[in-house]
Amino acid sequence: MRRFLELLARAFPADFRARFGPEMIEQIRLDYDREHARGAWRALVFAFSTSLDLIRSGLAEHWSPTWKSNRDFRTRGGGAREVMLTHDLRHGLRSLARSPVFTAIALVTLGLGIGANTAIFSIVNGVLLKPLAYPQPKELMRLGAEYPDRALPALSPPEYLEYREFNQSFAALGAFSTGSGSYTTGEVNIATADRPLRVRSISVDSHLLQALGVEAAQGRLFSDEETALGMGGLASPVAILSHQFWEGGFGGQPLIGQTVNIDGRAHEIVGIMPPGIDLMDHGTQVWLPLGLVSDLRDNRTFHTFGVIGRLKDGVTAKAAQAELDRLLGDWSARTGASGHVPKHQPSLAGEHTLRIEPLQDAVVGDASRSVWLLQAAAGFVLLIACANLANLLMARAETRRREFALRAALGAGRARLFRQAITESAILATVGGLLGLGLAHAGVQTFIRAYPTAIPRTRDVAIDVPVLFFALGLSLAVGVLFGLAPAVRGRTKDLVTALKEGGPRGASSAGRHHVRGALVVGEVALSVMLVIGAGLLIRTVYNLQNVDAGFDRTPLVTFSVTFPEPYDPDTRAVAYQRLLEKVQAAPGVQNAAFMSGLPTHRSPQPIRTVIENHAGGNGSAIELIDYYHLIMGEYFETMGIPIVAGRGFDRVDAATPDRVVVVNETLANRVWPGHSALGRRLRINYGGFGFGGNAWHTVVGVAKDVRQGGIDSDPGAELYVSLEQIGLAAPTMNAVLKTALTPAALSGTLQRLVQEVDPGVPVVRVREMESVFAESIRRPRLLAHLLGVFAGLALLLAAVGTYGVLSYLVAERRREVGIRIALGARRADVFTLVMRQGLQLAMIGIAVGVAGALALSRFIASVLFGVQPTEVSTLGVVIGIITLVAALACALPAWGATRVNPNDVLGQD
Amino acid sequence: MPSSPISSLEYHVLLALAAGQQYGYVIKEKVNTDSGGTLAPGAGSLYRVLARLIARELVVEIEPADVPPHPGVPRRYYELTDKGRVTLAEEARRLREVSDLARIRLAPYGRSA
Repeated sequence: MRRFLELLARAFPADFRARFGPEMIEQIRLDYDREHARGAWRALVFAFSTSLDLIRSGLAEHWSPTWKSNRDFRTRGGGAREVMLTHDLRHGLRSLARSPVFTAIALVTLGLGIGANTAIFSIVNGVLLKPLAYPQPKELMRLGAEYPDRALPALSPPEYLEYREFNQSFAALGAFSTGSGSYTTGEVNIATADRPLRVRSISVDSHLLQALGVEAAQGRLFSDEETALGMGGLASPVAILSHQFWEGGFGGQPLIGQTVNIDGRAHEIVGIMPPGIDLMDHGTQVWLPLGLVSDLRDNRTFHTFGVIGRLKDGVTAKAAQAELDRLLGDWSARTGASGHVPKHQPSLAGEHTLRIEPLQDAVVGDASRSVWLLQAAAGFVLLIACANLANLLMARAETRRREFALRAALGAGRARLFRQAITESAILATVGGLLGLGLAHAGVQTFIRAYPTAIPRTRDVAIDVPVLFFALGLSLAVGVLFGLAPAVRGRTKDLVTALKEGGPRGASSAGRHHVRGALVVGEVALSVMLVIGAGLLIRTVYNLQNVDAGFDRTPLVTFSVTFPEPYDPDTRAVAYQRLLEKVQAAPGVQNAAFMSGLPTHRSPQPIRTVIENHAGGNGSAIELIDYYHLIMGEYFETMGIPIVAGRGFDRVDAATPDRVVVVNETLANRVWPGHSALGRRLRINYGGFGFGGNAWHTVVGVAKDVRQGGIDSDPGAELYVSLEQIGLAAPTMNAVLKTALTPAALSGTLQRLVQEVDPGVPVVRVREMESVFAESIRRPRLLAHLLGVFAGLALLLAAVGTYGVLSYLVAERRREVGIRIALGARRADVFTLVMRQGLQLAMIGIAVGVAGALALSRFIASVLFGVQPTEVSTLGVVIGIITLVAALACALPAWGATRVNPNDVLGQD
Repeated sequence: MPSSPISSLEYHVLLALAAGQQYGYVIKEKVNTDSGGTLAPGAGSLYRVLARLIARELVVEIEPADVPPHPGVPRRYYELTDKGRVTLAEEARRLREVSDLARIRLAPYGRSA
């Protein structure tokens, strides 16, 4: 804040700034704190108006100095200039008030352009530009695994420990985990005073907290002992709460040293994080110590650790990557391990390498392209708004030529007229900017409510100081720049001509006509590009929504429960069985099942699985299976997943010792291409469910592929294991119910049924499967919505601009039209003449727009699905829409031209 | 009638200082209160006015003896000069005369100034 004010204070001359600067800044700071306490909107308005006051006063001080020790105030006439500035302001306000239509259109145009850009810039700033909330965030790097054929950035525990030992680049390097990846964890049950809650958790070791450089706001962070790996049991029963959760969930009461029940165990609260501290945009509410059961500590295939480090002073990311590349060259030799070690250049499926990237890039991921796309679209809207504003101001300058000529004849100098024009533009810019700020504020609030998880770091999206600065700079630049053009072009030497010709009857130069025409062409071209972009994204969303996800989602409701410690896999299985029977018997529920994953939201967790009598691509009997799925109840029937060969699970399977498995089509075709999968055997690694051991399972059925990892990703190889048969259950399971009832109608019943099994277990995320599906395509939906809004705005502004220019041309040529009609021209000919003039401009604009869209197509290609950026049908529809809108915009002035009465026109001469 | 040599904001700054020595933030608050909320100068406008009044020797910066401890930057205190007091009094008299004139002219309409 102080730096921002110091920057604005530079508007003042140096000696004034030296004398009064610190006092001014201190006063503004006190006032801002007071306004901020009264509300965010008041703080925004205060910041904006104060910024303008500083700029205006600073410029006035340059013009009319009040503070110069060797200057006599009276002899310099400073007061007179001050009075003139006030007079200019009053004159400008009166002048704008006398033209309410022009003023309203200019303000709305400015407001829309600035509002759209400010709102999107707040997203750009919050997501891409704002540094992470850690000390020296640029030193923080993420170490991730990279596979040739899949995205899986987590490391295995041995890799993490080995890299910590080998590297010389990092001052601190730590690990975190949100769960094993097979389940939708990253959450824990926590008992508060009222009821059990399910909150977002993350498990970290002490080294990670050291690397982040955070300090506890209260209490302490975890010690090395508390987070030592391979403790052979459960993690230490300590926890740290996020600041927000401490305030919201526990009322901000003293908690250090108190115990809280987390996942069925008493945990001592040892610390509270400072406000705003999170990890990987997880929305962490509870921080837990990272623990690891002993037999997973040496498991190289168990990729579950995220790794973050802080570079040593003087070490760059490039140097750290170079060191890592050297280590990858002889990792096997260093560790003595031969299987599943990271390599410098992996070539086979299942092999991987390690890569270092800035932590901020890892958090943002691939969202940057979408965000910049939105900023570009908002920029197009602003350009169209600017073109409209330029046309409006030029038309206004034309109508005021006589006024300016008269004032010049009465003694007003060119500088004075120039200053008055600038003052008017500055008033428009200020008010338009405030309007835009209001629109941006509303837009950002709507965006965060509607799409809280569509892009990362939405918690950092806000109208803050850099965004205010952006809005202020933009509104002044646009308002004053476009106010300059007509002011600069006004010349007093055409005094006599201007006085003789009068106001609107005066013909403009051909040059101005060309400028106006070019502006209309530009507006139409930009609109075409935006509408094409919106159209392609709408097609993308449509395609995504119609992708066959592999199951029938429409009549399904889902919810999630977790039976944590002291339940173990056996007792958990019994609890889930009891719960399933209750849910199946609930009124309105036709069928129910439980599943360990949630389709379209799962991350692939490849697990090495031995296939009997199999020699894969590299001769190995091991294949990587992307998804292990633990299910109970009539899963396939409830989800509407067809069994394409063999059968699903049967009740009798629970009673037989021979273990069975159902595989999906992708797995069957990959492992046994051209042959039946039925009767084949796989040794299921129960570590994939978080249990120990393994057992041979016989394939009894092949199910249709389900897009577990997302609508736009490949299904992956998947196998299903029956919970009833193996008698073991994961802590968290997701229920799926076939029912006509809504989640709201079911919620109370479900809470009651779960409480009957265990009162300490909350029910979370009761929702329709349709909304789960919609959430999986939230980013394309966001892009389609926003681009659609911008395209609509652009069309509206371009239509208004076209209508305005054509109306002006008709008004200018009114006399000519009147003469034509008097000489026998039909009104239909006049209509055609005007329409042709307008549509010519529109057609040129459409051609330029289509060419521009094709040239920029590669920038949008990565966010499309099932449609090419050059698709002819979309282009055709867009051209049709723009032509129709342009025709409507031209029709009104053309019709107006046909109403010209030759008698009126000729009578005026 | 002589024209006013000072603006409304300048008048109110002088009026605020007539209550005794003040620093910038308090001057601003007093201006706002004394004007019934009609004047709410931004920092830039206020300090330009202060600068102008100092240059015209109507206001002077002083170093008061007992300044209570406070956070933030050191405060600068201002007070009226004798010339400032005279100017304020003259302006107040002029405004009173103008107010009396308005009262006389509005009397036939039963409205008071």
